[in-house]
Amino acid sequence: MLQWSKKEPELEEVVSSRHDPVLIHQADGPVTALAYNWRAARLAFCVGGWVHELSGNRNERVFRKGFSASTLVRYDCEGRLLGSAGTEQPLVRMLEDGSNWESLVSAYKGEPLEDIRGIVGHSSGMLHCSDARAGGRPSRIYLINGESQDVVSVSEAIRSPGSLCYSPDERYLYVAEPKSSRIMRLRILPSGELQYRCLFAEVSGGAHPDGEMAVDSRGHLFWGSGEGVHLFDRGGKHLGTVAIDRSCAALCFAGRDLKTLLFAEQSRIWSLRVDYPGARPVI
Amino acid sequence: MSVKTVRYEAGFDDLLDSQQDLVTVVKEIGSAEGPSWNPLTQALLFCSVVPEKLCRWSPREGFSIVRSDSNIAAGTCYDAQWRIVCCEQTTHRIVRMHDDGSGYEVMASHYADLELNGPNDLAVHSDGGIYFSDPNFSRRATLISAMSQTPQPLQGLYRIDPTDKKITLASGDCGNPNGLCFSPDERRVYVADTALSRILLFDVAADRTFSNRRVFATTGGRGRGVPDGIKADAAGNIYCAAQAGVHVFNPAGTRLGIINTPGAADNLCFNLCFGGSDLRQLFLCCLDALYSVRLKVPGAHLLPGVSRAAL
Repeated sequence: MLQWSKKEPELEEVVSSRHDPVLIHQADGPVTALAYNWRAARLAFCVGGWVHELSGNRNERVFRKGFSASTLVRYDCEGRLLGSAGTEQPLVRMLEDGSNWESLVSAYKGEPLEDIRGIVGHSSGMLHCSDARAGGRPSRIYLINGESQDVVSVSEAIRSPGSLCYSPDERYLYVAEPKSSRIMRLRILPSGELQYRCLFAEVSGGAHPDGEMAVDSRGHLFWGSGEGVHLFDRGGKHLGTVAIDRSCAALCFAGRDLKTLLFAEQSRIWSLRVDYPGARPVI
Repeated sequence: MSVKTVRYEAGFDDLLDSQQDLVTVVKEIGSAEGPSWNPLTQALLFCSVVPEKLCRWSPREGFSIVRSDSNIAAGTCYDAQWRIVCCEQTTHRIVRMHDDGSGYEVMASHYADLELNGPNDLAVHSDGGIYFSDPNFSRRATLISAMSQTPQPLQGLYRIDPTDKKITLASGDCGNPNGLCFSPDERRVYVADTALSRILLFDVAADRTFSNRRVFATTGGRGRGVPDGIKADAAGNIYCAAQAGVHVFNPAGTRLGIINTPGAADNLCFNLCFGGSDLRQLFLCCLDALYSVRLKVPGAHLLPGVSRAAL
């Protein structure tokens, strides 16, 4: 049975108590990112700096050896895989089959992108990524044109940003602030610039520095943390936390109907049925 | 700085000594809003709008900041467990936290599956129910947000149940509601109707909705301000921040006088509350600072779960 700490009545509408999580895969090491391509029904995940892939019949393979040192993967709206491969290639992109690998932006105004913690691809083709720069300098959220690869800094108001995700209507960008166990929300202007930063949610427990976020079609937000998977409603109300033995860094929606939440507990990948499908990228 | 007043009726002298000095409690905080007095800690909670902060002031410990990221909180109150409850302007929702700012949680963001317009002010009934107004102010094009349509079909008064946090509509017939307060016996509720510059009066029905709406008073006159924060004293007199300062009415709705907004001519008073060890200090949240004046009558501080005798 799922162990929920702090349970609001609305929780049952999102995750029915009749569903238990199912272990679907045991990886060789801690899983730091999960990304599901719903068109190709493939799951990509990062273990030990390599991107792995799990197909529908659960066969695992290393995705591409040239794409190393990666702790982060996301699909863009065209099914290309976005990732970060350390400081040498902070932002990379490749086709579904692992071919046509390319390094995207590596610097902004002559300064290298240093510590990319979150990437997300908008249906308009633009990308947002977070750079938790060290040394007391302001962290940045970058806006990148997916085609021309032009890059601009659109926010320096978030302290050590982590994972990113969009609201279902793509009007808002959620930014995790793991150091303060908070999620901030910013309005996305048509140009991709960000405005009206506000505090969306705050929890008292420990966050995971790489804890990913995912949003369902009703705006419920799931956030991997040091205590398990937090669940918030679209207004930021904390509905509950799936308590797991160890911390959760990675999660995403998966399955043909996108009604399966996959989350990683260290090296184990769990599957949990939910009642609302994940927010599908608007294509 | 001596307090400036306008006296309309002799009864005004029974409430306030107009020869006293007006005290500047906290200055240079940006515009102050949403004051609430906590008699247990003997401290005043209030909001700074720009820069956004949730602040505290006490006679012993002075000024401190409770939270920096307040999402431009405006109205505040304490619930039955003495937790802080705030209306957030940028997120259009109501949040709750412990008195030290920890344990932040969202209480209300939607009604009938639609976002709230923008909760603005709060009042707590002694049964623990939290009532709030939901006007359209935070949907206007301001520094808070871009112009957007109000999600709710009306600007209502709502109640949050203290146990299950369910939101129910207390009244949808309240114009452009802003501040609200209960009468000392909690049988009536006063609501500032900003757009029409008046104060509405409702009866509190047994089912906890508001009924029998009538106009209690209007607040016109020269000077900057609109009907905004509103509070009652123990004798049932009503104090409403409005044009040129705080308008004071007796329980029959006769305007007794005005406590003028201090400072420059373009200063503005947004909200007020009773405080101090004897609840006879009236705090005024203004555009430039937080001020206070002494009153002869204590506030009708309705304390959820705590009788007046216990204080």
